[in-house]
This record gives sequence, structure tokens and C-alpha cells, in this order.
Amino acid sequence: MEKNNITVTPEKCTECMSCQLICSMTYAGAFNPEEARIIVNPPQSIGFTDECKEECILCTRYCKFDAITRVKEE
Amino acid sequence: MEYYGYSGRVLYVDLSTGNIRKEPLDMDLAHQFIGGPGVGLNLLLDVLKPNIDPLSPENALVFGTGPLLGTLVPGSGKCYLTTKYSIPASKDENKFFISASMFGGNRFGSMMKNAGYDHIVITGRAKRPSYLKVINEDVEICDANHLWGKDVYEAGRVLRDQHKGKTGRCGTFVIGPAGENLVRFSLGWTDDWYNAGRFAGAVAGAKNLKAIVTLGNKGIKMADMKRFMEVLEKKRQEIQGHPDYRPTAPFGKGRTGKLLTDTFVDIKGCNGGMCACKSVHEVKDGPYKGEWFGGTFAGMPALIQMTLQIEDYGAAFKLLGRMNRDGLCLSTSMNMLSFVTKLYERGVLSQEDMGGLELKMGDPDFYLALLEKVVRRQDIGDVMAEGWYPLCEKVGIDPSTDYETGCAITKGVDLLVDARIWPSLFKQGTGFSPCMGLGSVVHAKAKHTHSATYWSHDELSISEVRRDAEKMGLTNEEIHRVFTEDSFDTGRLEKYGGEAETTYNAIGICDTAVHWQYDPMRDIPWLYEAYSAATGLDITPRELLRAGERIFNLERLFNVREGFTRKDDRIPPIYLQNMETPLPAREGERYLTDWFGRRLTREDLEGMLDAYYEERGWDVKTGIPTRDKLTELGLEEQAEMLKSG
Repeated sequence: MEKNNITVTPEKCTECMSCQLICSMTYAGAFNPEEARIIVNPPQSIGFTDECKEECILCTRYCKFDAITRVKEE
Repeated sequence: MEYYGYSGRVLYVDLSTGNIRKEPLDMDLAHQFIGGPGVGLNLLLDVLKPNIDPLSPENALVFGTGPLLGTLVPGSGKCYLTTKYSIPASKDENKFFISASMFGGNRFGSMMKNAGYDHIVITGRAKRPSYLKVINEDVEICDANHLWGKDVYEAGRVLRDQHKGKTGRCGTFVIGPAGENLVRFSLGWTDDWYNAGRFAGAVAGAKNLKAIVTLGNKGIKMADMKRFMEVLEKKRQEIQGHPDYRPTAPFGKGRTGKLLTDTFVDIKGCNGGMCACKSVHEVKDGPYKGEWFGGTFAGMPALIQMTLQIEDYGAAFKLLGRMNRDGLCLSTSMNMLSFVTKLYERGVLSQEDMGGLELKMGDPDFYLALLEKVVRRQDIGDVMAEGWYPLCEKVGIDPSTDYETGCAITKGVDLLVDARIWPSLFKQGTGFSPCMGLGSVVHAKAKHTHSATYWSHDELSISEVRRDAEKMGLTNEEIHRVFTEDSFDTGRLEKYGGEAETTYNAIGICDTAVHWQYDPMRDIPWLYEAYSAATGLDITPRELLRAGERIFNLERLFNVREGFTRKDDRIPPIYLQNMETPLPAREGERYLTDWFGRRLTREDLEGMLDAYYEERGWDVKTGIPTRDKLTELGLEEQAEMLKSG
């Protein structure tokens, strides 16, 4: 668990950058992975910057490979 | 000026003088040619003189992107490398094709655009081993002594450690030892898993260019982000709702499918994240435990086992891994190993020619030793490294006509998938294109798989092929020329299939994502909506396809200047013979047939070529674009420049 309600599994990451693309588009106004709030270094790690909003789950919606998933609430 | 979709600049690097300059992107060119291949060919027009040696400093490497590359569009990682390729394309001396050829990636192109460049034009030759660093405004020709001699994965790892991004990896293009040693069928790799520039590794090697690093944070802006995301979401939903949709490439059924599933360890994908296809496989036990390969056509181990008569799949993994690390084309390496080994067995080549190697057909260690000779350019390996035609001259046998040792070759390029290996690539029900066999022959750089041609899904009816043609944007008039009620004209359909897929690639979207399993992506009106929302440019769907047509014509004009004509679009003679394959599963007669299973004769195939040229508006006898066609496409200026040289 890297962030509230989001689980990361870096070894499943395909490096498609979809998480960074949707994040930067939403918060930086352009497709700009270096300005994303998610840090992708598979297979070692996937993490989040301090600016990442706790309530945002956009990256989980765009990951098709279960590398970033939302923990289902009971 | 604000740019949308495009980054708005071209980077010029002269490795001889060290001169680096940044120029605005000519938006008139972008209007006419979209991106990657078309703009790349025009940039090459300014710097490439006729009949130069592809390994000389006068050759140029043009790396190009398109306006939707690096966005959330599925498959939007497609780049282009436009250059004069290094493989001898004819038995005549000094004849080499010029081609705009696609390659994939997940960081290289995206980071190139984010650094602020749509295209990079590299000329000259560095005095010492170098790599090019492109990080926003920080562009530098750097020393690569520490990388020279390293394999592609090792060199890529070192570069990524040297140039770390804030949120992830930099993009990389890297050549291996084969490219450094000017092996003419060497290639580069982008982001480790995407092969880039089959036959261009040596062009980079001759420039002393080991690698390119891209990284940036300028951002790719959309003209109307809200509309773009609406258009995108609609298509993503449609794809996800498609019954065939899976986010990763299928491995197929049967023994090969099981083997690939059992050995699977990882998979990588390009931007947009709906279609990962670069899988990595590793041997889990036995004598080859730990051997792995990745980033290539997953059917390759089976093909290499069959072609080289290797019993243990682990040995095939080992060979593939070695070829990848050295930066060698897998297809040419495999076919040439087979050819030379069979000639050795027949006594055409002596043990002395082979540098003392003892013949061991099917032995992976024998093949590895022979590969080593290619990469180090020793003994027969030095001749092999020069390409098919110099090798033919040495042994006095043409592999394209001598079945026993042969494979299908066009313009010096062995075709990865022999059109007879499945019932027929021309035939219905095989999951391959009726056009693919023809597309392999007519393209400037003979294609080895599916690239830039119409690729059909399994077992389509004629009406379903017609529906695909409509989705590719054919007008009613064109449909009537291509289709009858119960048949279609392969030559004429190939023209439109090639143009539609090239249009996707020029925009920055992988044609594999379009035709592989995502039927919904084959949709030119949607492509127009996405392109228009991204760039703010008002170009009709028809004009988008026109860009694809311009690209084919300009590429052809370049090659006409180099002396290519219809006679170079040679149907491999071997295609007219029965294919005898060594696998029990492939027993029985195997001739090239049409969509309906009828055996094709030379006259049939030449008739398809006639129809192709006619539909293109090219002279049927010479295969050269007619003046009327060039005027129609607005290519008079380019034609004049290429005529005068």
C-alpha cells in the first residue's frame, strides 16, 4: 500500500505511462509525465509525490495491467 | 506561436562539426504530411544527396514523431526512422533503398516531444564514440567510450542511471556491437524492448553514434483538451467493450502458445496502455535455465527452432537473447545462419571458409560461434555481415531461387514470414492479410511482418473485408474498383490498406494496435476527430489519407532517384515453388494461393502488381509515379528537387 486506497504492484507495470499521462493532463494541463504526481520505476517501485491528492484515483482507472489498483471498500 | 499536438521544433545535429541548431517545424509540411515518415522524408530531401554511401557521413538519420504520439490514445508510441538503409538492395553495386520505417517505444518518442522536438536530423560522423543527449534545451554530443562494446541492455541501463528523470526513466535508442562493427543487418533498440531501424544500426555505427537519450518536461498540449478526452474516452470504452479485447498480446493456441505462457515473465507496452505486446520469456529449468529473450514477435522461438532444426526451445531462447543483445536483426540472422550452414553441409563452403568451425547442424553452440564471427567480422562472418547479395556473390548461389538453402528475398531483405508458411498469407482464414505478401514486395523497404498493409482478422467474409475498407475511408468509387460482389482485387486493396495504416503511424499510433485485435481502432472518421481536437487543425478525413498517399509517393521518388524501378519489386521466385518444411505439422504441399485457396502463378502475381501500380497512378511498366499523380498530390516541387538531385 503506497497511498490511501491504492495498492501498487510494480512488477506488473508495462511502462505504458498511462497513469502519468492522465495525471499530468489533469493537474498540469498537458501530457507531461515528468510533471505527473506518480513516480514509475518498475519493477522496483511505483510511488507518489507529496502533491498527489489522497482522494484522487484517476491513475487506477487508466492502468489496464493491475499495477495500480484501488482497494475495494468493504 | 503555440503548438498543439506538435512540439513545434526540429533539432539538427551535425556530428562532424558539433553544430547543433533548433528550427521551427514547418507547419505547411505538417499539414501536407502530418508527421513521422512524411515530414521526415521532406527533411531528408534537404540534406541527402543522390547515390551516397549509406555508411558515409553524408547520410542522415531522421528520427520523427507524430502529433498524437505520447498521449493516451492506445498505441500512441509510434516513431519513425527515415534514412538510407545499409543493406545492399540489388546485385548492382551501390544500390540502397531510402525508407521511412516505423518503430515503437514508451519513452523515447514521448520524451523527445516533451523535450520540445518533433524530429531530430543527425548528419556527419563523430570523431569518437558518442551519444546524443537531448534533455529540453540541453542538447549535447557526449563521449560514449564507456558504452562502446556494451550490449544494448547494458548500455541502456548505464544511460538510464546517468540521466534519471524526476518521475521515471529517460527514453533511449541504443545500438549493439553489431551496429558498431557495421554489420549491415544490425538495428537499434528503443527503451530496451522495441527494435528500431532494421538495417540502420550500421548507419548509426558509421556515425560513431552509440545512443540517443531523450528527456523533457515541456508537455504535449492539446488544442481542445476537453473535446480530445471525450473523443478518446468514447473509443477507449468501445475497445474495452469489444468481445475480443485483451490488454496484452495473445500467445496463440497449441504447443507454442503453451510454451510462451509457461515461460512468460514480463510484458511491456507503448503509450496509451491498452495493448502491451512486448513480452519477455525465460527458460525455467533444464540445461538452458535462465536464458531469456524479449521484445520480439513471440512466434520467433518456434520459427528459429524450425529453421535451424534446433530441438530444445531453450537453445532458441539463448540464440534470440544473443541476437538481441548484439543488436542484430533476428530474421536475417536466422535465415543467414540457416543458409550458410546448409551450404557448409553441401560442401560449397569449406572448413577454412568457416574459420575452422566444425559443422554441427542444429547445435546452438555452432550457431552462436557463427554469430560471433558475424559480429566480429571474421572469416565467413565478414561476408555475411555485408548482406545477402555480397554473400550470394561469394558462394555463387542465390538463396531466393535455390530452394534447398533458400528463403524469400526482395530488395536484399529476407521476409520474416514466408508467405507459404501458413496456408497462405493471401488466403482467407489465416488471420493474416491478403495484401501482406504483396505489401512485402512493393514497399521501399520490403516489410517483414504486417507493417503498413491491410491486415485482416480471422475468417472474414468478403463483405466483412469490404466493411474494413469502408472504415479505412475508401470512397464509393474506390470500393467499386476494389470489390466485386464475391471477390476483391488484392493489388488495388493494398494501395488503400497501406495508406490508411501509414496515416495512423504518421499520426503516432501503432498500426498493430489498429489491426491486431482492436477492430474499433480501424476508424478514419474517429482518427480525424482525435487529430483535429489535438492539433486544432482543420484537415478533412480525406486529406489525412492523402497524407498517407503523399508519403508513399515521396518515398518512391527518392528510390527512383537511386535507380529503383518495378524490376526491383521482385516477387521472390521461391514463392512459386512448393514449400517443404521440416516440421511434421507442416507436411504436405504448400503453394502460394489466393484468398480462395487457388494456387497463384507468376502471371497472377504480376497481375496484382499491375493493378497496384495502376491504382496508385504509377506507370505500370516502370513503377514510377506519373506526372499527373504528382501534380494531383502537390508534389511537383519535391519531384523537381529529386530529379535534379
